[in-house]
This record gives sequence, C-alpha cells and structure tokens, in this order.
Amino acid sequence: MSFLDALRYRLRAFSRSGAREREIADEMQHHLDLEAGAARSTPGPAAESDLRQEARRRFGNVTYVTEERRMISGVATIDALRQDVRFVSRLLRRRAGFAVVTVATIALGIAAATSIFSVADAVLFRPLAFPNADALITVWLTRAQWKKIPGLSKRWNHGEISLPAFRQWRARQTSFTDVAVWDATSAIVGESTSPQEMLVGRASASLFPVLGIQPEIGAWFTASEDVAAGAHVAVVSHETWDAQFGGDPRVLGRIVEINGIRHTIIGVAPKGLSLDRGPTSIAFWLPAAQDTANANDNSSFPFEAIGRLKPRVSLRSASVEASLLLRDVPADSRIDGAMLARLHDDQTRSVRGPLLILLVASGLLLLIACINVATLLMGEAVGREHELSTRTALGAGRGRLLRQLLTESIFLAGIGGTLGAGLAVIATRLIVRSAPPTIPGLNDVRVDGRVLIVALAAAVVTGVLFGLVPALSLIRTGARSPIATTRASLRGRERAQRTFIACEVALSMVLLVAAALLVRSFSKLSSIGFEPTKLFVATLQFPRPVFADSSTVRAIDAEVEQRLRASPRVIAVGSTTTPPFSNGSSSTNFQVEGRSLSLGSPLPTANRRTTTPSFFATAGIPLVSGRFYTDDDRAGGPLVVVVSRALAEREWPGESAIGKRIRFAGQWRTVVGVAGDIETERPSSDFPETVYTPLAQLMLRSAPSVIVRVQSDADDVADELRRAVRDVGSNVSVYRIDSMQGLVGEAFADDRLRTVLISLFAMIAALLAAIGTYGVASTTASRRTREMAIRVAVGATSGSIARLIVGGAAKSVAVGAVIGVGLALLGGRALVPYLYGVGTGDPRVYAGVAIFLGLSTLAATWMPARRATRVRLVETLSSD
Amino acid sequence: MPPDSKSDVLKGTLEMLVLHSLTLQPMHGYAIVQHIRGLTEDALHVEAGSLYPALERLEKKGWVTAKWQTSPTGRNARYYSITASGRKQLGKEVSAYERAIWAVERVLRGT
Repeated sequence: MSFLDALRYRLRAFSRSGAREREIADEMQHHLDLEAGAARSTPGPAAESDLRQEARRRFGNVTYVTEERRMISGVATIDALRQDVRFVSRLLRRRAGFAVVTVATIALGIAAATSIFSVADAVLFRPLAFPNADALITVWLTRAQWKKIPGLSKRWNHGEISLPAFRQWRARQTSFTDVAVWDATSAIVGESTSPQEMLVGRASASLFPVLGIQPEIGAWFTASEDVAAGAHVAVVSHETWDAQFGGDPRVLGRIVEINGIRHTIIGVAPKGLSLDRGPTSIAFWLPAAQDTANANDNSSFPFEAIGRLKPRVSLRSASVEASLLLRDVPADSRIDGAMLARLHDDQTRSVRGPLLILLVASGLLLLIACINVATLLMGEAVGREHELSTRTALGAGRGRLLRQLLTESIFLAGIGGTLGAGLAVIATRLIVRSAPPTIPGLNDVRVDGRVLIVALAAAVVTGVLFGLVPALSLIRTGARSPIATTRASLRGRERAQRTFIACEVALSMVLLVAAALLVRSFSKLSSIGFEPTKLFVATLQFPRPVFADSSTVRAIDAEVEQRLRASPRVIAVGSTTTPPFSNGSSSTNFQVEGRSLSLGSPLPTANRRTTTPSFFATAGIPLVSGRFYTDDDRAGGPLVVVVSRALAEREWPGESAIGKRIRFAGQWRTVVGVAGDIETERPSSDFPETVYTPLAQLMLRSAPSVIVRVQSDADDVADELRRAVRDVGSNVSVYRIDSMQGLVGEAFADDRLRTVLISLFAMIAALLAAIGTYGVASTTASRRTREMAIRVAVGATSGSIARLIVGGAAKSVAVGAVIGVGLALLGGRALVPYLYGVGTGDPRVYAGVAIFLGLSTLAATWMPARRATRVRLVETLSSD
Repeated sequence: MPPDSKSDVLKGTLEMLVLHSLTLQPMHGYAIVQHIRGLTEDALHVEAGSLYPALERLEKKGWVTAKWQTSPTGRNARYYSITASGRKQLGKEVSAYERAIWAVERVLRGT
C-alpha cells in the first residue's frame, strides 16, 4: 500500500504543516540532547554549554538539515503558498479600492460576455439534433403582392402550402431526396367525458424519413396509411407517452380518441422531438391526408414544407426548381414562387439579428472592461513607482519584482474571472427566464464548462497582458535612478492612460447611444392606445352547432355579458372577435363609395373586428369623432361601421369620415364614428387600420371573446369570471382567461429584454469609463502635485487648479466622445429593424448622451481636483 | 556546512543501511546512528545531516513510518519502523548491491 502511505504522508504534510514543522524541530532537539548526553559521559570538559556545542558540532548544520527536510516533506511548498496568500491579502487590505474595482470590472465584463455567448451559442450556433441537419431545407411560398399590405407584409415570403400542391410538387421535384409537410393544430383528445385540449401534429408519411429520425418504439406511419381512407393511426410524443401512459411499452395498439375519431397508437416519437426547437409541444402525430378539413382543399394553406436536399445540389438550384413547380397553384394566383432556407437559418431568422447585436454589445463591454483594467493597473503602478524603484535600488531582483506584479494581476484576474463565471450562471438563468419562450433553443441554454474555461482563460490572459505592460515599464524605470525619472515616466504613462480613456469613452458612447435609442423606441412602442391594466380577456368556447345560427351566439354572448356585469368587482364588459394581442387577426378588403375599381391596384385592406357597443368603453378606446354604435344599431336597422383614425386619415385625408360609405363582406355600411388607434400586436410600422362592426349586424365566423375590466387585479378574478360564465349554462364555457397586461408584456418581451440588456451594458460601460476617467485625473493630480503646490503658493485660485485637472481629463473624454459619435452613427444602422418611431441619428439622443458623459466626467474628476487644490507647498517639497 | 566527501560513497547505500537497521526493531534517529556505528566499529560514521533527510525521503516513499513513543530513558522520541513495501525495497537494494560488489571484486581481482 505504498501509494496510500505516500498519499497519507502528503495529506498530513498539507493538513498539518505547522505541526509537522514542530515535529521536525522536536526530533532534532531530541537528537541533540542525546548527543550532549553522550558527550557528557566521555572524559573531557564538562561545562554544559561546551557539551551542547560539542553536540551541535557532531550533528552538523541543524538549520541546513531542517531546511532540507522541509523541502523534502513539502512543508516548504506550503510555506510559499502561504506567503502568496499573505501577500495577496496584504494587497487587498492596503489597496482595497483598487482591488475591488479591478475585480468587479473583470467580473462584469466576463459575466456579460459569457452569459450572452451562452445564449447565442445555444440559439444560433449549436447544430440541430437531426442527422446531417444542414441538408434540411424549409420551403415557403412567396406572394410579392403581400409586401405592401399591412398585416401581411411580414409573411409575404413565408406562405404555407396546401396538401394538393404538395402532392403535385413532390411527384415532380428532383432537388430533394424527399420532401414532407407538417402542421400543428389544437384538438380535443380523449373521451367526451374528460376531453383535453392538446396540440396535434399532422404530417406526411415522409416527415420522419426526411428528418432522418426513427420512432423510439413501434413505427411511424407509412405512405399506405397516409391516405384519406387509411387506417386511423397515431404516433404519440415521448413526453405525452411518459405523462399519460407512464412510459409503458404496451402503449402500442392502445386506442386514443382525437377530435372524436378513434386512433390506434402505432409508435412513440423520439424524445425531445420539436421542429421549432421549443419544448416538445405536439402530443400526437396523425397522417396529413386524413385531415378531412384540408386534405383535398386547394385553397387551404396550413402546411409547412420541409425537404432533405440531395448531395451536390445547391440551395440556389433547388430554389429555382421549387419556384417553378410551386408557382402554379390554381387556387391562389398571388403565389409567385418559393423561398428556401436552411432549417436552422429559418428557425433563427427573427432572433439572429438581435442576438448578434447583443453579442457585439457584450463584446464591447468586455473590451471596455479590459481597457479599464489596463488603465487601473497603469494608475496603480504610478502609486508604487517609488516603492519599486527603491526596492530595486536596494537590490531586489527584477525577476522577483516582475513575478510579484504578475502574481498580483493574475490573482486579481482569477478572482474577477471566477466571480464573473458565477455571475454569468445567474445572469444566464435570468435572461432565459425573461426571454420570450418563442426563441428557439432556449431550453438548451446553459453555461457549459467550455464557455467557462474560455472566459476564465480570457480573464487571466487579460490580467497577464495588461499586467505585463505596466510591470515591464516599472522594471525599466526601476533600473534607473528612482527620483530623476519618476516624473518623466509618469508623463508617458499618463499619455497611455489618456489614450485608453478615449477608447473607453468612444466604446461606451456607442453602447449609450444604442441604449438611449432603444429606450426611446420602447417607450413609444408601449403606448398601445388603450389601457391594458386590470383588463382580462376570456376566450369562450361555444358548442359547435351553435355557429349555424348567429342569433344564438349573440343571445349567449349577451347573457354572458350580463352575468359578468352583475359581478361586484367587474366595472365594464364588452365582446369582440380577435381581441388585441391575442395572436388572432382578421382582415378584409373594402371598397370606398364613389371610388372606381381599377384592375391594377388591389382593394384597400383593414383589420376587422366585430364587437358589442360596450367594447370601446371597456377597452378604453377614445372616440375621435362621430359616435360609437349603440344597442339601437341592431340587425335589420341601417348598417353602420366605426373606423379607426388611421383608416379615416388614409382614405379621407383632410375631410370628415362621418357619413362616408364603405363596402365589405358584401354589404355597404355607413361610417358613424372614428375611434382612436390601438395596437393589436407588437407593431412593426404604424397603427393598423381597423373597421369595427356591431355584433348585432354581422354574421359571425368566429366566436367572440369577452373582455372584462375589473376593480382590482387579484388572483381570483379568473375563477370569478369562470364561475359567472358557467352559470349561464347553454354549454358555453371559458376556454382560457388572460390578463391583457400579460398578453401585452409577452408581445413586447423581446423588445424589453433587448432594451434592458443593452441599457444595463451601457450603464456598466459608462460606470467603467467614469472609473477610468477618475484614474486619469488622479494620475494627473499626483504627477503635477509639485506644480500645483507652487501655483497655489504664488496665488492660483483653487478654481483654476480644479479646472486644470478636470480640463485635462475632459479633453480625453471629448476626443473619445467625438470618435464615439462617429462609431455610433455607423453602428446605429444595425439597430434600424428594432427601432420604432425614432431615427438612428436622433439629435436628442446624442445630446442626452453627451450631457450624461459630461456630468459623469465632472463627477469622476471632482475628487482628484479637490485633492489637487488642497496641496501644501511645504509638505509637497519635503515629501521627496 | 556541505556534507563531507567521505559520506558521498555512502549516499546510495545509506537508505539501504537504514532500512536494514530498522528490520531488527523500530528505532529513533540517534539510535540508528549508534547502531550503524557500533556494527562497523566506528568505521562508518553516519552524519545526522544525511540521516534525517534520508529518513524524510523514506517516509515520503512509504518505506518507513514514524510515530512518537516513550524511549527506555523516559523521553519522547520519534521511532521509525520499516513497512512491508520497505522490506521489499530493501530486498531489491541488497541484491543490486551484492551484484555490484561482485562485479567490482571481479574487476579488482583482475583474473
């Protein structure tokens, strides 16, 4: 067991190095005593001191032996370690301010860069979980005409495909080894007694082969099952299999009722299957061709198409072929081609830009942090000039001094890096929690060891690199005469510091401008035209047959409104189709009376909302002119419409819209009022143009939702609303209740996150720049102490002294700011897609940032300036 | 004071001698010195300056262990004893030493 013995020996040496040292001393003493005893028994001089001397002579060099034993046993190593720790703790105690600021600077820089990189890594850079995923291509239909139509413009090149078009395309295409389609809709799963709303996917039999995956157990459906008359089979997701069937392999052959049809489970999908890299949300997969609503409908475009590109076929040639084959869809003449993109690019399309911007911003912050550390080390070096040159003069080796300085900066970098890593783990968690869940791959975000090691290495390299420069210059200086060269080298160092500060200020200017632009944009963005607080949206579920008869829907809706109104906490109730921020929209073409139709230009379009009269008051939408419709505008009466202000201004600029007539859904309606504009989704351009029609006068194609304004936002509001609706009976039930504030928050989640993160980075950057400025001002103050003292002595006012110090630092800040403005103007262009209602060159933003920088410079230089005004000539002259 | 040149010859064999001495019974450092001295009738003088570092090395390699015990004179002394792996090592060293001596003798006799 010699290894264990050795280990025990070493452990003992480490754990009790103090005791070990005493032990060695005791043993030596024992030997010496015995030696002395032996000497006593031999004839000769008998004085006790002589005996001891004789013993020592016989023994040899006690110190040498002890030292050698210490070396062998490892006590010496531990001693060196202890010395380092003592040194560092002395450093921390003596120059706590410097140490804390340096460590915090490194930690913040590392944390920002690491956490953002972790998110970007998972979302943008990690490959998809499918074999050879680079060959997976999504195929979308394009409708160039939609580019100009509000509400549709975002989707012009992201059109889904119909099943008949897919079949035709699949039969003729040659670019892909195979192509597949899929979609997901909610469905009622289970017996009618205990139905559950679940997301059900419909896919062509080719989906799994295209993705290159196999069911975990059982089988995926075959082409012979993927036909209208095929057997009703289903593949269950791994997650649903676990949750509903306890992961039992005997699930194969079980029957599950989906939308009233009994399906036999034939397979279990692989774990974590998700085509949009979200959490697995699709509970069951069914053959697409059995989708009776869409299978043979040429005009229904619910499916997303995906293909596996053949080897050696380029994306470009595949695009050309797909455009040719998919252009001729008889049911929709607006389809003019196809847009192909790699699956990974397609998924990250909307998040790539914002994330890259964040990545750049965090990188800038890291850079600023590094520069700041260099500035701090430079400034710190100035304070120790004297100490080090004196030590050199007294004979300290250059190597020893260099090692000490490097130990110091590496130690600071190590602590900073470790803290930063810890901070990064927390920050990453916070980012993931507050990020909109629609970002793909968010589930896979983690700060992995790889990233942490890189971050720590970056910190240490920063420490060495930026510690080395001042250390080397110190050593050089130290070699010369300490007193003669101090002031000259100070000037050189100050110059370096000023350059650093200018860089720091320029970079933080970029971040500050970006943050100010985003904040301004966000504040405009979040004015949505109505009050979302204490407003709830109850989505109702009506029994299906009811839809045949609009009057029944109206009657039920009226009853629900009445019940809710009776509830003590409810202030107002209204109903509307497609409530704002509920991910639904309904649009219509309309025709303006007296305006001729021309074949070339399409009809104007508007969002369409069918509401009860109380909707406006409940939502808090103001009346601009005319009147809102009332209960008197009923079926059979004159048909009326309320239009939004944006629509009125577009169609009848400069004149009143009241009394004008427009035609949609086959009927002419008279405009009786103009309502204030509201946002209905996260806006990308101006307010959407909207037409409002009374529920009483229109045949409904979708169930209205009820919006309720309550007195207080307590948690049990939802329960109360549910209860009130249940009392109505008639099979109507509440499908879901959302708070409008929550919906609005979700819609703006990524804007908010982006704004908050960039603002945070900018604030840290500004703080670091201020710290750096303080450092420069301090250096100036200490370099020119003597000069200041003389100036004071010959009668300079403290104001003029302060101006000298502040002005010196302000010059570097000003240079940095000018460069920063240029950089910000250039870089601001990258922000354009994320700005709303504010230009990248907004002068107010630049002015605000400049004032902010000026104030922070003043604040940062105040202390050193004050110190400089208080110098006493006698003290200064006698200090050297 | 550098170790004197006489003991250089011993350096390789000192550890072997110490291990061998400890096969008789556990001993403290002074006793080891006396033991070797007595056996060789003062011909081999082991310096304390060499002995203790050697003991430290042996302990580190796990060939000897040490513990504090009361000596016959009633004092607390650090007693070293040989371990099983120490005995194995001693065997190896002794046979290597014997081979070397044999070879040296052959050369010196020059037959």
